[in-house]
Amino acid sequence: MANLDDLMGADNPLYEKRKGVYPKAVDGFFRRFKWAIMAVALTIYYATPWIRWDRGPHAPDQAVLVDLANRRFYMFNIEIWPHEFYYVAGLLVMAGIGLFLVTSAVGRAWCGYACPQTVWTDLFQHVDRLVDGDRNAQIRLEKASWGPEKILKRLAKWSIYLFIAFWTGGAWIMYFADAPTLTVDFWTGQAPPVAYATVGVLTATTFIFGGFMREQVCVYMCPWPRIQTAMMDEKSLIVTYREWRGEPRGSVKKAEAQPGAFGDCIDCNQCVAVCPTGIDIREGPQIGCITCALCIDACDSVMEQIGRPRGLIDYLTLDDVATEKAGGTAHPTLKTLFRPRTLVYFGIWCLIGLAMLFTLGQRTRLDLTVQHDRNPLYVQLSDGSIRNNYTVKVRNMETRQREVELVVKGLPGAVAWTSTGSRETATDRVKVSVAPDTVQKVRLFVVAPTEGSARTDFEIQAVALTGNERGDSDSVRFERPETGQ
Amino acid sequence: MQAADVKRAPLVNALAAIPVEQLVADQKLYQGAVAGGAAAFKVHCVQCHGSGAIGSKGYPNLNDDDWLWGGDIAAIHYTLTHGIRNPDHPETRVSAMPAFDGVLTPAEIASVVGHVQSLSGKAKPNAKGAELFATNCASCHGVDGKGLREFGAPNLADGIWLYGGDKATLTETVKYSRQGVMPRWNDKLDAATIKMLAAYVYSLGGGEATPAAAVPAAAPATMEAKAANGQP
Repeated sequence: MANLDDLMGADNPLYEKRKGVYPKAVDGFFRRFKWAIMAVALTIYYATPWIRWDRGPHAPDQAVLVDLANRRFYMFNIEIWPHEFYYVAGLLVMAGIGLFLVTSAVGRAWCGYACPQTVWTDLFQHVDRLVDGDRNAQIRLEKASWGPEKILKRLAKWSIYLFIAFWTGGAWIMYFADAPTLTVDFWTGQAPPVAYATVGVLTATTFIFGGFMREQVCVYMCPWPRIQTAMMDEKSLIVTYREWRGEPRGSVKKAEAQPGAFGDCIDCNQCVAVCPTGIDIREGPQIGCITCALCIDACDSVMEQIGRPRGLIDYLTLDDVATEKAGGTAHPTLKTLFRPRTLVYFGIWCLIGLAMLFTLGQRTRLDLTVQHDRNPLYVQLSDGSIRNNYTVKVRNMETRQREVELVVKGLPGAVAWTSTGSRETATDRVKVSVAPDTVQKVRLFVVAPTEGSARTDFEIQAVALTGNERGDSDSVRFERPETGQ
Repeated sequence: MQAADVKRAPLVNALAAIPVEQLVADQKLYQGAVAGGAAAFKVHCVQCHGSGAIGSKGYPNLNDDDWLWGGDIAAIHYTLTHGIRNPDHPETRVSAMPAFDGVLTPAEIASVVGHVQSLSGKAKPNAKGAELFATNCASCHGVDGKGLREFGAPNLADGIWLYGGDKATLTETVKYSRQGVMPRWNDKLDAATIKMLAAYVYSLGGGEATPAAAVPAAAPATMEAKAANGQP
């Protein structure tokens, strides 16, 4: 075993000092794909809270709203109450399995295209190009001593960073309150302190993570690359340098001088220059590679210019690497995407989604909880009959007033009334009016004849009186004295 | 405490202003009063009536529908305000059942007890007991034994007994009488708290509707209308 000091000594620090990354602008299929995803992702993020959705007078008209204060979650025509949180849990499970699916099929596609860290870093790198110029100008400016130009450019760049970071944090809070109201409140100093604190924290993290730490977050902070590496297999697509085609490297001139002595790679370093994490893909698969495929774009355009076939750097599976090295041809991409493992993930993902949709369609918007009062368990009345009291909670999860009938089932001779009624007019059912989107607490008095077992289990049903709507029921117990007096 | 008092002030002020007969109709105020009463009950009443207000021997169960002095909110409020058998207070509720030890012979007492038990089907009817009951007891408890709230005379024909419906306990009651006492609260609690307690006790399930005649708000209007019409 190696001496620990050798591994962890001053010569081998666990943290590698950050090397500056100045990715060069590039164009190509994957770059355009990334543009499209960035446009869609940022549009969704910034625009969603501003979409209006009419729910009538008793509910907010914001399409997507996490109303923490009132404990409601709105998403278009779906309203989730806190006790229905399992829908959110289901979504998280789906997100997890979705990541398994994507990772096993197309490797670190999440890292390369959709992760907020990637999207915002990409955005900030465009800001760098806008202010400082492309790669070479950036390097020159970084090395230059501090003068008026550098100070001005740095100030300009950081101001734009801060502006973007602020809007990032500012958009986040819009999901938790009525967006137009909160915007006005925010700028007039009326918003709750937590709104300012959230904007402050998210501005700071966006500014630091997107502006300065960038790939360091992916390599050192994020656990996801490590987990993903464990979930990929030899059939997952990864960005691969076809070293059996590219090596040994030699310039176009050398190759012309000695035909057959060199591979296709002309060592132009374009793949390194465009890499947003500053790695050299020709060294093989590595933790720093987020598989954004910009090196594929760069290499393809070079290959086209010098008239060699594209795909020296390409999405390949480890299996294909072995096949191609042995002289065979790679599987078609579709065949690597649709294989038992991905189909099983997809099946599970669909099952959970469909099960959630089904329960969402089946769920009642009227919910009943009945609790038997325990002090006293029962009350003996003057005519000898027995009264039990129940605390009934009727949840009206619709945004309209509803008339509900509470019906006593399975307790012979029983009558029920609430605090607004009386025993004289009581029958086996009581009407309760429940305000929109509220929980109505009702004290229910139930009287049954003395005769009967000491404990009778029966049911209280909540029946919605308007239309043919689903109700709910709850099982409770009726208690009588153990020995009749 | 001061902050709590400030927060309670609107409820307390509204309660102090409203006639107790109208409290139940004002559902929001009533619910607030019930909640406040539940808290006050835990401090002032549980010592005798128990935490669930089910009482014990000699202390009435406030959950049931049997009331010695009336179960509408105004009657409950009166009992709370003036108490029962408070000798220093002229407005207190008073009921003095005589002790029949020496007035009736043990054998006569036994037949009266038998008759009382027969009213709720616990014993066979006996003519001698019925006759003695009519002469000695019916003036307060009624001929049929159903009691009279004006005197706080309990209903002897129902299934509820304050001290017990067995022979030994009934004999003791007839022989020595019962003189249970409830303190009056008008000298200890403020008007709002007493109304809260009345609302809470009323809400326990045995509360009776206020008799129409006892609701005062409508009465003056009628009298004014009559006066305007030149009627007496």
